[in-house]
Amino acid sequence: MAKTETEINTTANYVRNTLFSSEVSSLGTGEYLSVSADIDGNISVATNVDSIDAKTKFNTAKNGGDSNLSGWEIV
Amino acid sequence: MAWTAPATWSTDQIVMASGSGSLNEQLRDNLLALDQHAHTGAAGDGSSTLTGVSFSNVAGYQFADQSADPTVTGTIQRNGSNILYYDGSTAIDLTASDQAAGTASLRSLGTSGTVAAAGNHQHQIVLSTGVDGGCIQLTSSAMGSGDVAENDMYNATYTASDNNSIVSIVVGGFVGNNQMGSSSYETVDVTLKLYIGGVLQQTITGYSTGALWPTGYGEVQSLRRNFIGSTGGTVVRVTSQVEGGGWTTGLGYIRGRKSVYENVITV
Repeated sequence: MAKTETEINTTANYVRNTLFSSEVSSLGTGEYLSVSADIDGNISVATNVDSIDAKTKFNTAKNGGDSNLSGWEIV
Repeated sequence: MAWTAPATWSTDQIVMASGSGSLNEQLRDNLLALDQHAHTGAAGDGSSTLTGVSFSNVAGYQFADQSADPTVTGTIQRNGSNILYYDGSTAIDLTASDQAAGTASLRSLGTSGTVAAAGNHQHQIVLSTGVDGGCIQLTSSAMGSGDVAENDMYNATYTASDNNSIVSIVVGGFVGNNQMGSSSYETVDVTLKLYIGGVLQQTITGYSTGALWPTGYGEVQSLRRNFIGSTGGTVVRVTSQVEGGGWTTGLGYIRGRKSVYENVITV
């Protein structure tokens, strides 16, 4: 089922500002972490910080029962 | 010879040769009536035609070969080894297969114009030569002062050349200038959104510039989407939203580019 505008925006913000809050707060100059969410339920995380394993963190949280990630897939 | 209702004789009754209740009347005449009567439909005589007849559990019907096609509307008739039906203008061969398109007949499976497609058939999609809708620079979105609500960087109708077309759009954005005031450079957090037909398709959030020169920080992800084109037009909208603080006079701006590509689909 297609995601609504509210779901897209809420999930994008949740992933970046809550799920990856510690990584974002630790970003240094020239480092970035951006999150994309789309109507099909896809999430993508882009970062130039090599130590961040976005897929593992996302899937661990989702499989651990994080209801905010239910219905979303990281690509 | 008319039929006479059978008499009922009693014990010790003498039966005469002729007259009412006689052997001539009861036996001879009634047997002759049964033997010689016509099927006129009159009571007791039966009819030569059957109405309202239904059959069930019939093992099979065998049509006699008429060596000709039927010519009376509504008639099914055998001609040689074929069974044909006359619909008022044409004798349709019910046993022939793969007749001309538009003629009812049995069909074999295949891919030509007079055979039936298999239930698991597939269609090959053919794309026309692509139409490059070009790449344009989006309208710069000013940062203003402090947080800035969602601003349009692009909002226009894309009119496809055909309704059976697929249109691809890719949008990228970047901070063209994060200078605030005459000499300060501030952290800017950008969110880009793509709407197709008024429906949000994708959000990218979280690209933050540093609070320093140089400018030109770009979104490291792109907004991208395919949609079915419409000759009636589809509204494509790209917006940007800025979060940041600490400045009161924004000189900075966000820029971006949008490219579009269209292919007409033939199945």
